[in-house]
Amino acid sequence: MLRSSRLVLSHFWLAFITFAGFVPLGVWQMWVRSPLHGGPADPELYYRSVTAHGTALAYVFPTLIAMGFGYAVAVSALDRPLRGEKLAWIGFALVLVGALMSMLAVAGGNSSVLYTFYLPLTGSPFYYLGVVLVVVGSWFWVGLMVYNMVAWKREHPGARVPLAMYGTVANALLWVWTSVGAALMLLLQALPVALGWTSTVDAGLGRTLFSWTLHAIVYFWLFPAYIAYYTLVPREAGGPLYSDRMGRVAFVLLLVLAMPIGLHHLFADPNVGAGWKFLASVFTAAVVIPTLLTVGGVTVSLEVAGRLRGGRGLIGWVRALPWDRPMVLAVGLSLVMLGFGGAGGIINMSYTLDSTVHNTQWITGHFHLIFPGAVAIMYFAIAYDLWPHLTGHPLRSAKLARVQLWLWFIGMIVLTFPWHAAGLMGQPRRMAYYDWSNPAIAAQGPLVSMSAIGGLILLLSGVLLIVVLLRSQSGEKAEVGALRYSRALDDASPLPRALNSLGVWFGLMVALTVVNYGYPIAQSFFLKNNTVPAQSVQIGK
Amino acid sequence: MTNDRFGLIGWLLAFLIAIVSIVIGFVWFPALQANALGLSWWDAICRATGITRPAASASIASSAAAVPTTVVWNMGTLRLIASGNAERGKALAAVCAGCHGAQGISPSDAFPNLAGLPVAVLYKQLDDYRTGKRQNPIMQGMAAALDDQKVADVAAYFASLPTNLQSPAAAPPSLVALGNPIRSIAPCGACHGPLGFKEGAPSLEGQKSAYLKAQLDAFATGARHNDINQQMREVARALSASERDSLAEWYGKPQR
Repeated sequence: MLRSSRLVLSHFWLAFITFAGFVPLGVWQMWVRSPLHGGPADPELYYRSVTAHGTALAYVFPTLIAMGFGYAVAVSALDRPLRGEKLAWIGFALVLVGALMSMLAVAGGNSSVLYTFYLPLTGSPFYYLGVVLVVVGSWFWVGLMVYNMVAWKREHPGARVPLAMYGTVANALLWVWTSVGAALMLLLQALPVALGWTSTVDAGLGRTLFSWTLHAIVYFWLFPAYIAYYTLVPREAGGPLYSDRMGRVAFVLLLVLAMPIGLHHLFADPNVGAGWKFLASVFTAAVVIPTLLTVGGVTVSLEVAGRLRGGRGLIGWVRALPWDRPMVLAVGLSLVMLGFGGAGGIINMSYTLDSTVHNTQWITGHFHLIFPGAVAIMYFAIAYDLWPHLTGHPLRSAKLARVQLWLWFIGMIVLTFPWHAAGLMGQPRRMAYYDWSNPAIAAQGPLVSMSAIGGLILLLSGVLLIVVLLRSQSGEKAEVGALRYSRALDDASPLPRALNSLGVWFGLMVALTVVNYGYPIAQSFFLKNNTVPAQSVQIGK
Repeated sequence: MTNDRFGLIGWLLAFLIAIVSIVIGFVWFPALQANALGLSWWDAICRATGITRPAASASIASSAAAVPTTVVWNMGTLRLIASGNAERGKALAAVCAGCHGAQGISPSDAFPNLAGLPVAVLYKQLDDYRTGKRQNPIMQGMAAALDDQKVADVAAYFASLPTNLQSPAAAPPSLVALGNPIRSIAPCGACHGPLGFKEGAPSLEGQKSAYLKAQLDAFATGARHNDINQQMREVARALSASERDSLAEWYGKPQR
């Protein structure tokens, strides 16, 4: 059994309860908009549902997985008890209370501002406070991850920090800095108007601050998946990791580049100058580098494993891989979704191409391929991998787990490919209903129906996930051994100091933020033309 | 040693890319745009950083009569409206009771109920009568005696009276709930309730049907023209006479 297994298991279970509760809302949203449903749903309910689906699954679910997986890495990769476990429980409690608070506020219908907040729309203060509590809870985790790594390094001078822990702390640092943008927006802008202290809000500044968080938050979700790519996948495939150093380079590049480029979410915003947008486009292109490094490094590692297992020829090694293991199957499916999602992302980040797809259903498709697709499928694999170590019960029904992963992949493709197509046809995202009697858009009807069917497949897969986890936990106990990580081919070679610490990279990230965001934020202090009256969405206001 | 060299090359490359993209984004592209838009170089570069000068607005010829209203929804107006005093307004409003009822609920179908309407709506309509942007012999005469503050006071008084607005008993008709996108008709209910309310748009539930019908017809013919962006004239023109009737009927029906 893993140390602190109760702590980790609590995070994972709360994450998956959130997952099970709020995935069905997404399916409902697709269903009622499609021609399969008789007529339009109540738009008010629709936007309530969008707000709940996004807030729960984009803020609460991945944050809990990142936290839980981080604690698991800290106790197993560093191989010692977690320091500050009490604080970890306080952080968990804050996330739980914050999640409940924001979800109740959304359920009451007073906060349908969508999870991207959209100032000057203002909802109930409890909604914003709830989200702030979730973020503050996650900051406890950030502090503990840094503290545990620093303490370990102090006691092991000169030793290399295990790659999994290095990546986890890089992610913690990325998150603490990137969450500052949304936190500033919530505390300085959204809450004052929600509480009635001010009646106007600088919408341009609000969107700029939110974009500070909006892009890098995706990398915060992505990191646990990448850590699994590097440190769990090669072990499961039966080979070594090709390069530990390459993993570190990818992690620090993600840390430095992910955050300052969020400005590309403002390509259509008039308050940001075109020069900054172009700069953001260039920097966003640079993020392709760590992603390709990762895809390359993982693929090479898999090839080594395949050849060690007797695979021959150009692609014979692919067949030789142990695809019956959930982790190996998940990484294969994940890389396919990452490939399609990444290709779409390159279109989104191009300043000129973006104008074709901006705010269309294409964006929803891109986003779902990356996060609930490529990333969440690795969360499932991580859960399957950790479950025996957390519960003391080996994973039962491995076959069901494979079916679950396949269904998730198929469902996600059926959901998102039609979205991309509809987006190219000009279908806007976040519409409560489409008028299917309108001949101009009737051709998009079958695409929306197809997506709704994809949603149903995903729902089935989600149910199977919970079944597998519950079944395994209620099975017979057995000795499962320690949680192990992949060995790397270059484990023994010397490591530059910069790749064993993160301070300098954190500094670079902050500096690049100042370059990219300094002026667009500073301009709000002397350009006042973005200040507009707040629009309350609260019932009765 | 080779490591160091690769590191150096990497840093130099990153620095070079940053410089080149700054030149492209802030100098080269703006210079191209400057030609296309007839801007000076310097203005184009400022524009690329996000600093813009207010556009010269003289190009649009506008006669005073073509301006639909002089009310602007800026902070000054909103503050003025918020400063309205219902007590002072009550004294000023004594003359209104004859047509609009002692409690703002009109005894006659021809005159609208005023009780509990959004304060910004009351302010704008009264101010439009005062400036002649909305025309009605009686109301223009009444409003002429008021100044900015008094208009706000009267508005505050009527807004403070208990409303007769009631929730609809039956589901709203399709034009109210969904509009008609093919004919570019926005849903009435999105601005006038029950779906939502916009600043300056009156809530209509429980209003007098005959009054609503007369206003829709006046918008359709252009006899009433104090809607800021012509949105009501556009919509009313797109509606058939029988649709205008049934909408006025539904909103005016004593509901539940």
